[in-house]
Amino acid sequence: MEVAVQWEINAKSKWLRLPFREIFLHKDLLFRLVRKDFLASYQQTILGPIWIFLQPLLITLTYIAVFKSIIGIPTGNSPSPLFYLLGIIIWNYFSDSILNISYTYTAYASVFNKVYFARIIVPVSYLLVNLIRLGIQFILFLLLFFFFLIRDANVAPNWYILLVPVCLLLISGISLGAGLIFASLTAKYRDIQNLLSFLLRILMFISPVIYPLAIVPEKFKTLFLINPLTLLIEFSRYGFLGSGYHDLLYLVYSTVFTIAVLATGIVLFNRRDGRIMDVI
Amino acid sequence: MSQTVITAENIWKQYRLGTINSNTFKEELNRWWQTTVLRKGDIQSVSQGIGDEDNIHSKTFWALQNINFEVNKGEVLGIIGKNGAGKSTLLKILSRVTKPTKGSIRGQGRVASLLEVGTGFHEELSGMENIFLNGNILGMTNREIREKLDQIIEFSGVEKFIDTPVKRYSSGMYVRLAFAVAAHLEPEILIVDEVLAVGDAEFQKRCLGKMNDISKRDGCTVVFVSHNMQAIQSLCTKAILIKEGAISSQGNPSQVISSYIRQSRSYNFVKSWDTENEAPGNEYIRVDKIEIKPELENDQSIIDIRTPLHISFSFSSFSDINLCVGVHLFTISGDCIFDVCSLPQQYAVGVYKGECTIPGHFLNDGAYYISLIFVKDTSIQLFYLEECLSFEVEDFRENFAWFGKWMGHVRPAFPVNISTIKLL
Repeated sequence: MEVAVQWEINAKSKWLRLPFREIFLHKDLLFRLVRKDFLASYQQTILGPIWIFLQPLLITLTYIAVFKSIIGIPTGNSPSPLFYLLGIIIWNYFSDSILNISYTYTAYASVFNKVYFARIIVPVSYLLVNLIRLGIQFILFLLLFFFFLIRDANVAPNWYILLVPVCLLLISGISLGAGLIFASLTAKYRDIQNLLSFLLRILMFISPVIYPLAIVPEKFKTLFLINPLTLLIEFSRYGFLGSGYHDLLYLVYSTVFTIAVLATGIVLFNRRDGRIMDVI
Repeated sequence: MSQTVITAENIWKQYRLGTINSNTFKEELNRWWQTTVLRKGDIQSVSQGIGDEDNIHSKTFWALQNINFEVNKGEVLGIIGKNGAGKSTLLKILSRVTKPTKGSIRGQGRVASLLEVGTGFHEELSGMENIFLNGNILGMTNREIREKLDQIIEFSGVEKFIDTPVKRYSSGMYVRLAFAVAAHLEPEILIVDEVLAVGDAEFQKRCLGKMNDISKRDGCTVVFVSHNMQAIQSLCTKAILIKEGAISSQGNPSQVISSYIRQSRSYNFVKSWDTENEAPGNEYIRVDKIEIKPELENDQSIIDIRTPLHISFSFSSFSDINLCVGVHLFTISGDCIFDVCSLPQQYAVGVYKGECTIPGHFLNDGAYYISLIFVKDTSIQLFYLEECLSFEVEDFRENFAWFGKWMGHVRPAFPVNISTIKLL
C-alpha cells in the first residue's frame, strides 16, 4: 500500500527551507503559470509574440536617436545597435523580473486566499516567463551580432563569451532574490511598490545600459562597480563585442552578492509565507 | 480499524482589527525595537495576548479559540455555525491558506481544498486552458487532468464553447465549468466550503449529488462547511458546531444540528402579561396568555415536520357577548395557511381558555407565526392579536437522497399509492 503523505500545519515558518523539492512537485503548475502568462499577454493583439522582438528594437532605435545622435554619448568602438540592444535586453530582463515578482502577492491574492501550493512557484514562474522572453530576444541579438560580424564591424568576440550564461544566471539570482524581498515587503506596506519603480529607474542610470563604464570618471568607478549589474552587463558586452570592463575578481564579488540577495529573499519570503494572507 | 487522518490540537487564530497604515508600522517598529534591540523579552508571545485586553493586543480579535478535533479516514465532517463564527477561518487553516497563531494540525494524505469554484480562472484564456490551469492550481497533475478531460468537459456541458475565452461565458457556464474541474479531484482529504451556495437550484442539486458520490467513495475523507442542515444531516458522519470561535458541540450530526438550531433561533413559544394594563385587549376582551407546546419525543429537541403543536390561550370577557375565537397561521412571508375558529357562543363575564392542535405531519418545514382573532356576532372583528407567536419547523427525511427544499406550505402524510396496471 502506498504510504500516505504526512503533513503538519502550525504557527512556525521554516526560514531556511530551500524550495527545490516543492518546485519539482509542482512543476506542472509552474509551467502552466508560465504558459498562462504568455498566452494571456498576447490575447487580442495582432502582432502577438512578435512584440517580444519589436519592443527592444524600438527602444534601441530610440536610444540610438536620443543618446547617441542627439546627446552624443560615446559607445566606444562597438556598433551602437549591438551595444544598446544587449544592454536593453539584459536590463529589461532584470527590471521586468523584479517588478513582476514584487507583484506576486498582489496579483495572486485571490488565488492564495483560496488554495495552497508552494508560494515560491509564482515568483519562479515570473522569472521563467522573463527568461524565455530574454532567450527569444537573445536570438534577435545574435542575428544582429552575426550580421555585424560578417560585415567585419568592430566586433571581437572572445572566450569571455562563455561567461555570459554565468552572468545571466547571476542576474536571474539577483532578480529573484530582490523580487522576493520586495514581494514580502510590499504585501503589507504598498508604499514600497511606488518606491521600487523609482529605485529601478535610478538603478538604470547608474548601470551601464545607455553608456559604457569606460566613460565614467575614474573616481566614481568603484562606486559603479558596487552595483553588480554594472559588471554583469559590461562582462557580457566584453564577451561579444570585445570592449567593456572585465575584471574576474568582480565576478566573484557579484556571485557573493547574488547569493546574499537570494538568501535574504528566500528567508524573508518563507517567513512571510502563511501569515501574509492576513494582511493583504 | 479506522485510522485518524486529521488531528487538530489547540488551534488559535488571531486577527488584527482595523487598517494597516503608518500607525501599524510605528507599532511594528516599536515592537522590533523592544524585542530585538532592547531584548525586553518576547512581548509578541501569544500567551500574553489571550484574555489580556489592555496590552498591545487590544486591537486584535481571536477568530478561533482552542479548537480540537479528530477526523478518521472515510469520515465526512460537517462544520456548522453562524456567519462569522469562524468556520471559514478554520477551513483556511486546514487548507493552509493561513497559519494558526497557535496550535497544530497533523494529518496524512493528499489534501485538496475547494474554498471556491474556479480559483485562478483567467478571463482571457479559453475554457480548455482554464481546465488545465484550475486543475493544476487545485493540485492535479497534467496526466490526471488529461485522463479526465472528456468527463470534465461532458460534465460541464460547455463543449461548444471550450475554445472560447471564459470572459465570454455566461455566469452559469462559468460556474459549471469550474465545478466540473473541482468535481473530478480525487484527493484523499477534500475540504469544501460553501461552494454549494452558488448557482441555481438545479446546480446545487448536482453539487450535492456529487458531494454525496465523493463522500461515498472509498477512503475519501471530507471536511465540509455548509448552512444546508439537510445536507449536513444526510452527508456527514460527524459534525462540529462552532460558536464565537470555539467548538460548542461536536459528535453525532443530528444532535449537533439540533443544538445549533436551539442556540440560533429565538422564537416566541409563549406570551403572557404580568399586569392587566400590559395585556392586549380592549373594553370587551383581554388576552391573558398564549402558548405553543410542541409534543416532542424523548430524543428530540427541535420541532420538525413530525411534531404536533398544541396551541393554548386564555382570555377574559368583560361583557356578555357572542364570540368566535379564531387562530390564524401564516408563513413568515405572510401567506395564510389556515384560519380555524370556534363555534359562535355566548360568553358571560369571566375567564376562558382555548385550545387547538396542529397535528404532526401537516406543516412543511419553514418559519410560521400565529395570530389570534376575536369576532363578535360572527361578523364584527372585535380584536386582532397579530403575530403573537412564532416558531420554526425543521425538515426531517428518512431514507431520502434528495436535499432540496420540499415544495408547498403543507406536507401532509397521506400516501400516494401506485399499483400495477399491466406489466409489459
